[in-house]
Amino acid sequence: MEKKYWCVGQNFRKDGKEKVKGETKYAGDIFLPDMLFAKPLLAPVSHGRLKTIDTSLAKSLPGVVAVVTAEDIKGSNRFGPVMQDQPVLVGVGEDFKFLGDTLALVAAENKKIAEEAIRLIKVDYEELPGLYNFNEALADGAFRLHQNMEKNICSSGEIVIGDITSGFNESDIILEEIIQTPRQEHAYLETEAAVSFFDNQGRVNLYSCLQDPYYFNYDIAQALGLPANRIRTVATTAGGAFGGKDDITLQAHAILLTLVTGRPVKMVYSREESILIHPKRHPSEIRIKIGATKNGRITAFEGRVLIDAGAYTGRSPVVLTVALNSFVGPYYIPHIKLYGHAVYTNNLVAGACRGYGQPQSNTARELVLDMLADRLNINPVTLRKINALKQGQQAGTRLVNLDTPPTLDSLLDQTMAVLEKSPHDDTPAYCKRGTGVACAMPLFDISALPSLGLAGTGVAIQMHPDGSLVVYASAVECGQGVISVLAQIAAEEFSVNPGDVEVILADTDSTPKSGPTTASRQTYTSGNALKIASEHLKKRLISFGSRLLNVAEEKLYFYGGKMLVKDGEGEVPLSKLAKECYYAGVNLKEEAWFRSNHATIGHTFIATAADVEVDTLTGSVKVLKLVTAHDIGKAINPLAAAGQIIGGGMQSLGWAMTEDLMQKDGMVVTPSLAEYLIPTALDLPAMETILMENPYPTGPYGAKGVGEHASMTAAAAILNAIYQATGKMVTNFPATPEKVFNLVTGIPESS
Amino acid sequence: MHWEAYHCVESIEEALQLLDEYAGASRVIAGGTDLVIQLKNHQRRVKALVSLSSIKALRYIEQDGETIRIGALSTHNELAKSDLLMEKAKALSLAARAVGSPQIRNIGTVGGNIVNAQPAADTAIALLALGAKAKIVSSTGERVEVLENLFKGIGESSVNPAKEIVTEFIFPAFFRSAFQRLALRKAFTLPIINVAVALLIDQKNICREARIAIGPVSTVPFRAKKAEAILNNEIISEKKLVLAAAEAMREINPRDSLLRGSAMYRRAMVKVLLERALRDAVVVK
Ligand SMILES: Cc1cc2nc3c(=O)[nH]c(=O)nc-3n(C[C@H](O)[C@H](O)[C@H](O)COP(=O)(O)OP(=O)(O)OC[C@H]3O[C@@H](n4cnc5c(N)ncnc54)[C@H](O)[C@@H]3O)c2cc1C
Repeated sequence: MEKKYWCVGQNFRKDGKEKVKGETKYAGDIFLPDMLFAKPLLAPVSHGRLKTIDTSLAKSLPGVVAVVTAEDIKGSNRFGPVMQDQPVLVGVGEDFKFLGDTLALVAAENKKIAEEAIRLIKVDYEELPGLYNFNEALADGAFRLHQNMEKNICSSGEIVIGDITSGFNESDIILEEIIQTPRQEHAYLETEAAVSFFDNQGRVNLYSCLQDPYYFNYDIAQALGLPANRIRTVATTAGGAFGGKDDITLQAHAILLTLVTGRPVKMVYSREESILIHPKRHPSEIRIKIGATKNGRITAFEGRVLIDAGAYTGRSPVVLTVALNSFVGPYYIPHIKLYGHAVYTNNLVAGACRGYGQPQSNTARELVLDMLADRLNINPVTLRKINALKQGQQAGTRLVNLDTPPTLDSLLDQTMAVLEKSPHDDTPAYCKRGTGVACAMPLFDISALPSLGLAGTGVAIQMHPDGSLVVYASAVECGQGVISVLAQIAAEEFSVNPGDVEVILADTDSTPKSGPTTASRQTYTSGNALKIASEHLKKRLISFGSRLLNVAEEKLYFYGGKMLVKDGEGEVPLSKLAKECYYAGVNLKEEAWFRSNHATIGHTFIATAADVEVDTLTGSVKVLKLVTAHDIGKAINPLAAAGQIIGGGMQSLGWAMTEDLMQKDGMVVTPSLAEYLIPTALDLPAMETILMENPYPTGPYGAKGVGEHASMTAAAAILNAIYQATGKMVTNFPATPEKVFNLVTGIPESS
Repeated sequence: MHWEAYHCVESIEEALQLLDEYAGASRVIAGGTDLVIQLKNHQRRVKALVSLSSIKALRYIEQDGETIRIGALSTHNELAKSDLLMEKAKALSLAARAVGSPQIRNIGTVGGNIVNAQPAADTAIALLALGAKAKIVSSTGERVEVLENLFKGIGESSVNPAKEIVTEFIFPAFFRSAFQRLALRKAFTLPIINVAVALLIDQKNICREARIAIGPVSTVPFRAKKAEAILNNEIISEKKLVLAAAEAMREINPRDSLLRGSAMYRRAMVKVLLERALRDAVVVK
């Protein structure tokens, strides 16, 4: 029987109106008296040694208040979530390793002066040879980008299950393919912005769009040589994040300038700066060798993942781990051998980007599956069903336990059914239509992986004497709707109007550490913590209420803003109850700590089907329809969940079709959004979303994660649809018209 | 991006007088969608800007007997919405629709598009195919030039906006025309290739005049005269169209571009787009 909820499962949006009206305050909207504006001086080339830096001319420009260099930093001057190896500012005598390295900062009375002063800083440097691709970086005798590392390998990983040799021996057919995936830019509407200032206790306050206030607070503090409690970090509402705001960029700079000048400082990246500085989705090269029997049983899967970490470690070791652990995906393959390396280069730093390594490995696998289906002469949907993981079977990662029956067959059927119903318009003779599918077993809440701050989530709830509720969590509102979901959960627990619940987010002075807003985790983790905290608070209210009303605790429950007595008389409004508690000295604030109690990593299932039309004379591809079915557990807010799937699909479509933050010998070929092309509204197909509700035992109300997941299947479904239409696979997307044209007409790539 | 003065004028005379006063140190600005970027990037310096945007007399689209006249300050959106152009100058109508985004089309002007002199400017390609002439005024008089004469090189026009103003484009109303554009996404991006064709076909189905324009395959919007010659004074047939398109492919000289594609691909696309445009022009109307 379906459980009846008070407001869970409804489409409630707490911050919708203010956003639509343009009233939401983002970090860049903050203006303070006496505020300075700051600008960074970036590395002149991708790799070089800083010999001297002369700031005297810049300092003498009227209106310039400070020009700072590495010398002004008291702390380690290094930050990073896994290894602290990235400089806040590159010092004299040190090497800058990529175009996003910052050499100096200017704070001035206004932006124009700051920009002019930047041009007056004189830098003397020696350009060094660079490493710009896997071959160069991994070559014997290549120079080492980080002297403490033996090679240019940032991290490696391996997963072996079964015996790969016997797996291939059991197969009738073996296929080997290499898939290359492009560097993707997050392209959020809001570029990075930060405001810092001293409060009247002499602590630095940071207001900035970022995805994990406690991590930023801690890592910036050590880099600048302050105790973490001398900084307060507030994550402002972000205009998109997608993982790109999970790492420190200008935040340490703004704080440094406030420390030096004593004044409030604002820093906002231009689009061009944003593109150079924040970490990108890793470009990858993925080699897959797959063996199957004639009837379509996959017996062996050997895969190697290379990801381009760029110049610093960033989150690459974790991204690689996640890529490998999701490589085999929702299939049962008895013999697997997966390995890979994150490789240092002088390219842009790569890091978290919606999916965290999973889009690369999942897309590569799904493309190869379609090629295998073709070789076996088996329908691609059938091939996936034959190999779909069943309960009791070992997944391609030991970090996942199948705690609910897998749903791949049903998801595939549901997406295909939608496409079959879609009308097929006439297409000109030179156009070919194709339908493609792709599946994944996306991971969420990777709590047990070694990344700072992921494990353990705290959330607090407080009831004021009038019965109104406040939720405190360090989750970040970045457009995904976490503020609405938390309000809904509190409202569900206390049976009040979600619009009446206040939610305070992401302030190290007042909200408990909830870990990063990444890994599709906050509904799951903060949602669970909030439920636990609410249960504790309700328990206390019930025990107090039972004395107040003189009835047994078991008889009390919350409904419609009141505490009621089961099949009986008597009720007390929450406002009265809270007031009595207040006078009686009952604590009405509860904080709870949630540590995931699913396996090491949570998982779900997803399938996407795409219809495309390929103009075989130009190579242009029109994506006509995208249907995604997601095993969501329970949609606490169905519209927000669908929004995540549609948005993830859009971003993935861009990755498949146009987005390539191209670098050539270190130079960025697409430095702005005029060259780096994200999809416009006109490029988007009709999109449909199917939310399959199948409550997850450990999720709040059965909910699973969803934020990243469509980015693991949409690109692959589209590329497979092109393959089905043309018989040619784009193995190095984006599928530009020229690439598709060359494939269709048989022109070799290099010519 | 610095200037000392920004003048909003209401008449051409007033504008010319101001330009004279600044003696070469000022420049006219229309929608500013090209110029402001150039000023920001320090590619141009001016002492003053003379805005033509309030001159109502420069915004019109009208038919005058066998010619169509367009005020140079007409926006792309105005061109795109004009039924007259859709009927009598489809190439220009489609080209205007292809420019940028709604915001850009709302303020960017056809005059600015021409004087900015980019080899693939969409309305430049269309107007070149339509055989347009431009009327240019200055304090010393007025001249009328065929469009070709205005393009000197990438971003280089023979019009000097420090003292001259383009007021009008004039072209025949009798062409059957069409426009095709290929780009990496559906909107808001520069073309890989764009082409426009204009054909005058008589009752015997003989092509009396063919004009073909292609961008960006040269330093200026390119006229494919050899391809035109294949059609001129010939009976229009599918075979002729294909031959003409193939000829165009040979007479252009595109370059390899990391963003727009290889020369080889773009050459092949000229043929495909031209065939489509020629067929469209022949069939429609
Ligand atoms: C985001 C974006 C997208 C764009 N997309 C496209 C596109 O898809 N296709 C395309 O073709 N273009 C595109 N453009 C370029 C631009 O919008 C067009 O070229 C536009 O038509 C320029 O007109 P304007 O009125 O804004 O010119 P302005 O910027 O005002 O002026 C351009 C130049 O012309 C001169 N000038 C302007 N009017 C006159 C006049 N009447 N007499 C003499 N000189 C004059 C100015 O002094 C200046 O040198 C795009 C621009 C942007 C910013």
